[in-house]
Amino acid sequence: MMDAIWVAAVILFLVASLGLARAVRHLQSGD
Amino acid sequence: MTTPVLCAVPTVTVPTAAVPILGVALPPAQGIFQLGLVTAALVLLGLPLGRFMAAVYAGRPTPLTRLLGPLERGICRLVGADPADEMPWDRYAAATIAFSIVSFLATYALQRMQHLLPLNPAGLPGVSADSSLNTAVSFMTNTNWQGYGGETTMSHGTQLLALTVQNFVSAAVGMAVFAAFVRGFTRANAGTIGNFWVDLVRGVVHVLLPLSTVLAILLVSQGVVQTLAAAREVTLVEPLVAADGSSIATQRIAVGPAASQVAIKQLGTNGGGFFNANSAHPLENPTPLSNLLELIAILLIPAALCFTFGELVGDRRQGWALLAAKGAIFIPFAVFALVAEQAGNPRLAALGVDAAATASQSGGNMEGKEVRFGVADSAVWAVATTAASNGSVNAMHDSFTPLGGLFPMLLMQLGEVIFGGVGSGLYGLVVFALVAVFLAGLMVGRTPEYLGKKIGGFEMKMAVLAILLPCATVLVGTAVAVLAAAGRAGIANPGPHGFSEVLYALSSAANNNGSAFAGLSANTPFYNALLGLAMLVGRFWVMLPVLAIAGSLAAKKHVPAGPGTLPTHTPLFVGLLVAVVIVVGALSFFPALALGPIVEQFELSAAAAGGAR
Repeated sequence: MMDAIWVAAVILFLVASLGLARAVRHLQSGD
Repeated sequence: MTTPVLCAVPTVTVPTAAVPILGVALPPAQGIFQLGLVTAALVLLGLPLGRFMAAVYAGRPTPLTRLLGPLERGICRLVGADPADEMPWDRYAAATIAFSIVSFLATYALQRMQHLLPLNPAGLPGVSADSSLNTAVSFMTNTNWQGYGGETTMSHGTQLLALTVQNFVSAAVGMAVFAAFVRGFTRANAGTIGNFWVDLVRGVVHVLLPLSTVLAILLVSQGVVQTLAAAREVTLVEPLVAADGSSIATQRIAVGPAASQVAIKQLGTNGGGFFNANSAHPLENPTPLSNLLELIAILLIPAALCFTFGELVGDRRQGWALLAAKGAIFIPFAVFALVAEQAGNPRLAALGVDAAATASQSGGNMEGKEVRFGVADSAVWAVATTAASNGSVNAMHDSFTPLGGLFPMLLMQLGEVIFGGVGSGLYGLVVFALVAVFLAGLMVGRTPEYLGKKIGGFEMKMAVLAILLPCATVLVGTAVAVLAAAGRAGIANPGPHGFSEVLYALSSAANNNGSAFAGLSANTPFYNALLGLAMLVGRFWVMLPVLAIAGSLAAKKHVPAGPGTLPTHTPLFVGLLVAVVIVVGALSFFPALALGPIVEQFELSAAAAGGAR
C-alpha cells in the first residue's frame, strides 16, 4: 500500500510539473 | 618549520603551521597549497575537457569518435533517438520528465526487491518503502542524499544497477539541459533546442564513461575496493575485549564494487557513497593521492563546462568570466572555512586542549575529522563538495565549528551555482547573469541583452522562479520541520546547533547537494518525505523555467552589440554577477543563519571569554 502511495505521489508531482510547463508555454505565447 | 604534507602530493614539503597573528588564526599553508593545486588542475584539465564537451554537444567529431561513435549510434538506434528530430522546449522538458519517471521507478523497484535479486551476497532484505522513495528521488534528481547506510542497506546489485546507473544518467540529464540552454543563445529564430535523448546518450557515452573509467582505475591503484565478493572476515592483529569480558578476535570488513561508483559519484557531482562513511572511509578514499584525485574530480566537469559555454557561444571570454565569478566566491569561502576550522573550539582551548598546529598534528578543530586528512583537507573538501552540488564528505560537517559549517551551508543556499551540479550549476549561474544584466539595464534605462539576445519580461519571470523557488523550499521546509513534532524528534542537539542540522538538511535537499550535516536522524518517514519533496522542487522547478528561457531565447533574433551593450566578459560584470549571487543569498538566508550557526558561534566566543553560560 505504501509503495503505491509513494510512487503515485512522485509521478503525480512530475506530471503536474509538466502541466505547469505547458501552462508556461501558453503564458509565453501570450506574452 | 617545514614538514611533509599530510595530504595532496606526499613528496612535496610545505609549511603546515597556522601562525596566529593578532589573535586571528591564519589558514594552514597546506590548505592554501591544496587550493592552489586544485585551481591549477581545474584550469589545466578543464580547458581541454571543456572544448571536448563543446564538440560532443555540437555533434562535431572528437578524438574518441572512432571508438565511441558506434556505441552512441547503437544506443540511439535502440531507443529511437534521432539527432534530426529537434524538440521545442516543452517537448524537451516532457522527455526529461518521462526519463526521470522511468529512472525513479527502476531505482525504487530495485531497492524494494533486492532480496529477490542476484548480487546480494550479504542477503540484505528489501529497503523500506519510505527510504526507497527518498533514495530513488535523491538519485533521480542528482542529489544523492544518503539517508541509508550503504554497506548495511544496499546489495551489490542495488549499488551497481540502481545507484551507479543513476549517478551516470542523472548527471547526463543535467548536462543535456545545459546543452539545450546554451542553444537558446546560439540559435536565432528557431523553434527547437535539440534532442534530449541524443544529448543524454552523448553525455554518458563520450564524457562520463571515459572519465569514470580512468578515475576508477586510478582509485583502484590507490586501494579503493572493486569486487563482487561478500564482506571479509579478518583476524584482528590485537584482539579486543568486549564490555562483557569476552574476547573479540575477528572483524567483518565490508567490500564491494566501490571504485566504479566512487569515480562517477565525484565526476557526476552525485556524492552518494558506497559506504556509509562516504569518502571518510579508508576503502573509499584510502590515500592522500586518492583524496586529491577525488577533490579534483568533484570540481572538474562544472569548471570545464565554463569553457564549453565559451566555445559554444563563440566567445571564450564569456566562459572565463563565469569561471572567474565562481572562483571569486569559492576561494574566499574556502579560506574562511580553513581559518574557522584552524581556529578550533575555544571551549576546548579553555580546558587546556592543545589545538596548536605543529609538525606532529594539524591542530585546530579535529572533532569529526580523519587524522590522516586533518583540518586542511577536510575544510577544502567541505567547501568543494558544497560548492559543487556533490555532497560527498571526508569529514563530518556536523562537527565543524559553527562558522566553519556556515560556509558550506551558505554555498548550497546560494543556489548551487558556485560550480554547482554538472550542467545544473552553470545554467543556474547563467540565470543569475540574466538577472545581473537586467539590473544593469535598469540602471541605465536600456533593454538588457546577454550574448546578443534581448532579455524580456518572460525570461525575467522564469529566472526569478528558478532562483527563488529553491530558497522558498529551504525556508518553508525548515519552518515545517522545526514546528512539527516529527521534525523536532530527529534533532540530536537541541538549540541553535539542532536548528542548523535541519536548515542544512533542507538546504542540501532543495539545492540537490546531498551532503548531510549528520546529527539529524533523517531516515524517518517524515524527513524522507519532506526532503524527497524538496529534492523534486529543487531539480524540476528550476529545470523547467530554464528550458522555458532556452525556448524563448532560441526564438529571438541575434542583436549585434552596440555602444550601449553591457560587456559581459569584463571584471566589472564578474563583480556585478558575484554581487547579485551574494546579495540574493544573504537577503534570503541571513535571518535563518542568524538563528543557527551565527548565534552558536557567539555562544562559543562568549564561553571562551568567560561570559554567558
